[in-house]
Amino acid sequence: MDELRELYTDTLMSFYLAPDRKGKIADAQGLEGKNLSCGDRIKVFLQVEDGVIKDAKFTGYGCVISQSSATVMCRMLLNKRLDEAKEMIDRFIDFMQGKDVPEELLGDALYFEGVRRFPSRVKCATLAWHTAKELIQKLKGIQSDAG
Amino acid sequence: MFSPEQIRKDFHILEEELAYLDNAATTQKPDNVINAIRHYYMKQNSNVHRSNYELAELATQAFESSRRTIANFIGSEPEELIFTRGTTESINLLAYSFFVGGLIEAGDKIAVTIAEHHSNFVPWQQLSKRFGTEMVYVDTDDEGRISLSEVKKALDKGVKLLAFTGMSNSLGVVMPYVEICHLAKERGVLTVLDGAQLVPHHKVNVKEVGCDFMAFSAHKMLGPMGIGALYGRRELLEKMVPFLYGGEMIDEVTLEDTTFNVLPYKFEAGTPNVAGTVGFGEAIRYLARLEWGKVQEHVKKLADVLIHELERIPYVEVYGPKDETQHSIVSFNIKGLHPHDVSQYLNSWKVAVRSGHHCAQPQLKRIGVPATCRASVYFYNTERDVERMLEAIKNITNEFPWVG
Ligand SMILES: Cc1ncc(COP(=O)(O)O)c(C=O)c1O
Repeated sequence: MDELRELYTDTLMSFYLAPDRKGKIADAQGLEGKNLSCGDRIKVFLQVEDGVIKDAKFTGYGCVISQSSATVMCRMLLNKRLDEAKEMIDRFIDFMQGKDVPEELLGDALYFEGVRRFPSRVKCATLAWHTAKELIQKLKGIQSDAG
Repeated sequence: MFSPEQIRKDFHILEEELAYLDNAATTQKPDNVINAIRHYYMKQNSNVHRSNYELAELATQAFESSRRTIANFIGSEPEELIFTRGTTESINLLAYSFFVGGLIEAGDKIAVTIAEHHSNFVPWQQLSKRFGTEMVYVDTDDEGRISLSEVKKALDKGVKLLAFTGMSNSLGVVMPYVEICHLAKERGVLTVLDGAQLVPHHKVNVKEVGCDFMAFSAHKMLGPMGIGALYGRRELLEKMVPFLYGGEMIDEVTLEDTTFNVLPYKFEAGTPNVAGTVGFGEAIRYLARLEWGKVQEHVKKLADVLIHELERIPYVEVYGPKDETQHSIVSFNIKGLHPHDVSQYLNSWKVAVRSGHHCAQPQLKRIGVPATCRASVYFYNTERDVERMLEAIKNITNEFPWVG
């Protein structure tokens, strides 16, 4: 039971229960990501102006881990430049995969530390992040085409 | 006397305090199976059908004795029983051989049900795309049952082949497989029966059932992983082209052409998983010693208790039929919680269940859920296992207070 508490901390549960970044953004670019092992889907929307993320939201159905992680990610992406955002995502994915990342750089993403002890759930925690990373790469492509 | 408590002594892994309720994914292995594999590698290992020294004779005898045991168990001739890696490979063998050998041609129609495991769905769908055949889908009802009228409707569209599961792995529905094979036979339609879930729970005599082909896996019925079988009616197997080419399956090879070995070797290219077949044979010997009536009654009773007790909990939704067409597998969800969270929670109570789409996405889509938790019972499970799971589910609001 204690082990379960390491995974389902009160903080994660509160993120799950108050998904303040859930919903679509009209006219923004969106991208769908899938977790092949469970079939969950998530769609991430990013509204970007002058290379800065002005709004970030997600839709989809998933477990406590994937949904709370999507909430935290969308909050953290707000007002980040695309290259900053990408760096932040890479750091989180590295962290979840067990690499050493300075804690002070992780911000609220540090709340997912407990998930690292549950390898089968790391995919849940990183689903939104992988999806956002792919979307950012697409958006950067569009930007450099335009510029 | 059938006593699950006594039986559990044959399964070392069950000595741990664990309610193992993921038997539809794979079952545990009794000592005789593990020992037979060990014995094979310690005393008999060599390549089969190749050499004539004593060890090679022993290996070949063990290999062929397993084939006879398994064939006998399903009522087939040994020559009609082909060893494969499992159900998935058995079905792919059939599909590739039919398409490549021209037994199925562009314009033909192939029927499958939407209750299928992906391994009896995707090969037909993908090869249909490649070879220009048409897929006909047999729908289920809201509980996952297949009605004979739906089957007739599909067959009367002029299909050449019907591939269907005898027991669905997502909802535990036992299909009317004898009647379905009969309907198909009346219309001259070939039948491929997916026995992966059926054969571990029901004595299937292929001649009485009347299917043309049946695929099943050892690991879902006490045997090792990586070995399984395909039964095929002799005259059909004779007409089919091989799936894999290589050693063992040939009769004579010249620079111009190759002739092929007799059944079943024509379909068994390469060095086989002999230890696997030895374990498979032992698993069947173990199963054959059980009183099947009692075993089925016990499994049915445990699954029924699960269904009925879960149904009484207001925040639980149970899927699939709740009558005599249901066996062993109980699919459910907790309202407000993802199945992954539920199975993680159950793990903390030492209860092992699976969550996800169970490789049956068309079926789950049909009943309107993306994923479920699935508890699946085998004969070594006890009331204790079931009670532990129910107790855990009743306490889930302690951990996830918003549930309900
Ligand atoms: C109904 C059904 N068919 C086919 C399969 C595939 O079996 P295997 O993975 O052993 O090839 C399974 C296994 O999950 C199954 O339950």
